[in-house]
Amino acid sequence: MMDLLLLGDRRDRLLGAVARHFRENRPDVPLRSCRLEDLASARWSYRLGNSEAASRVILADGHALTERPSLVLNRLRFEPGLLFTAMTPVDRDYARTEFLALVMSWLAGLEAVMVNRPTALGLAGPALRPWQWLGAAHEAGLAPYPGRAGNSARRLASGANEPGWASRGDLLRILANPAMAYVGANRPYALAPSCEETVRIDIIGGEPAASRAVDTRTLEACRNLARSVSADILSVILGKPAGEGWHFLSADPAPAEMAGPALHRLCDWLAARL
Amino acid sequence: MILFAGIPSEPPLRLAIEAAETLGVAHVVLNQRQAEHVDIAIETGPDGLEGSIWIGGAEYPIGGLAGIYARPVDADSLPELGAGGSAGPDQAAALRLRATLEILNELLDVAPCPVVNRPSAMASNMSKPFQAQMIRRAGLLIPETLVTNRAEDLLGFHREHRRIIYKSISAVRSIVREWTPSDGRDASAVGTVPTQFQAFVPGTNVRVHVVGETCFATEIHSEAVDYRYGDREGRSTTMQPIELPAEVEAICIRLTRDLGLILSGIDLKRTPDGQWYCFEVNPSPAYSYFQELAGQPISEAIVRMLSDRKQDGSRNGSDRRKSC
Repeated sequence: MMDLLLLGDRRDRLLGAVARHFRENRPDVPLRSCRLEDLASARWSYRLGNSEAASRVILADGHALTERPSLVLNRLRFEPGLLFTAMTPVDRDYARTEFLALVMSWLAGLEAVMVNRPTALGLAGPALRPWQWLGAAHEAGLAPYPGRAGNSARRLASGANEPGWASRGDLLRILANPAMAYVGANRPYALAPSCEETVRIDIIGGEPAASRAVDTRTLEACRNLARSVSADILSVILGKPAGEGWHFLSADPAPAEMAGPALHRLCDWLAARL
Repeated sequence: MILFAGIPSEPPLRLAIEAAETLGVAHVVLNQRQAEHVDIAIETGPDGLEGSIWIGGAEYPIGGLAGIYARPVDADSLPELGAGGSAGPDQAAALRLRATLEILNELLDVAPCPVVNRPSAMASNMSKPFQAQMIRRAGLLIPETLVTNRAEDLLGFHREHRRIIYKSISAVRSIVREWTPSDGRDASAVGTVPTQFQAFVPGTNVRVHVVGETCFATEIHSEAVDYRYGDREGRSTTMQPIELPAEVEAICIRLTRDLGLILSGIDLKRTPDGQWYCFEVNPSPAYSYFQELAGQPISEAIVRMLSDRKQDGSRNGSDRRKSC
């Protein structure tokens, strides 16, 4: 019997929900948790060669992390502020960068059944940039939600005030910088029309949940998207601009939470892999 | 038309621009240090994603570009954002520089034409052992590697391999140095943060630049452990072009393609008994050093690849996306 290793922050709501589900419904499954900070303070011996990759990670409590075969639900996020805080700034920045590189490699090669194995684009699955997602969605057969972004509003035909269009900061991350308010008229922008309705499609293990709100073709395109980015879990948000059908808004391989049927589907899928 | 983006005076970009001029290939240069004259826009359209770049007032639709060679630098590295720079105390200009870089990177990842290289494809280089697993799967040997913060493991690894080196795990540039227990550097120092050690691989360094389906292999002779820094150690370095064994060449081309790259700099070593080890695939190689010392026509190959033309005038295959 494999145990279930939950990798992620203690405050991760989805991990907490999964842990509670297994404790209540599968008390026979040993559960273990490990945070990024725990890995940073562990004793490491990671070997990589032409015939094998082997690791021994001894946590601060003396337990070896990979003593037994595991099913791993990986939701680690690189949060450098938590790591090596006792070092000088220069040493600390270097240590954080080195540690991220180690964890990325270790997880990628870990001999365990892993959900959200790291890719070059993310520690817990594909963390694409916003326009990469729009491009990937289009190639998967989804219509990208209307949007435009640029480094200078002077190129907008109607300035930055097109009727029905509003700022959409997730399309250009620098817009989150509060100092952007002082840039002036020739400022960067990201705009999209208002969204009348949204729906979330959770793809788990490559399969989207059935939805009465979304047609089969669109669900199939969501499945294609998850497959194209190699995501075991992918939450896709679709939106409807006024008078139009479903368009792709965004996607996340590590959604903050799942509840109800989606959570049960996830836990059933995990249990089937034990 | 080819778009060159970055710092035009930087040798790899400079050589490519000169090659385009020599070959008569239409091109335009986006100078990151003159971002106030550059506008970039991207938007969704009926056929996917569309975009344009304005340089000095002239518009260049992304859909009309034959190819892009981009070597953007981190905005914080630009002299304009340093003390005394033209954007020094001007926070608005600094933010605009950063926004220009952010949206340029977005565009590079979704542009329909061949891009050398897409930012997302360069990410594997963030972790050397992560990339090494891909190198091993491609069919090249990798050095025996230990990453540890346990002194006893380091000492054991040294006993096992007799000669070991250490280097950074990430893409942070480091000088490769040999480690022995007797050279004054205490093994217990690794307790601070895990460090990467590798068994020393004897042999001849070979640097391979892959441009699409073409390989340029350069044999390097240096007495230094890390030939890139041989001068600092007073050790000379010489280079000469060589032909790779067909199998090794095929692996290098396939590995580059599998990593999503068009241009790569692959660090190999040929051992005395003829085995080939690979240390790294550099997704943004400073090929100019090898072009100038060994005469490899890499910049010309880049321009021909992006302009979709071979030396005989016929078309190359290209990495074209369906949308944008």
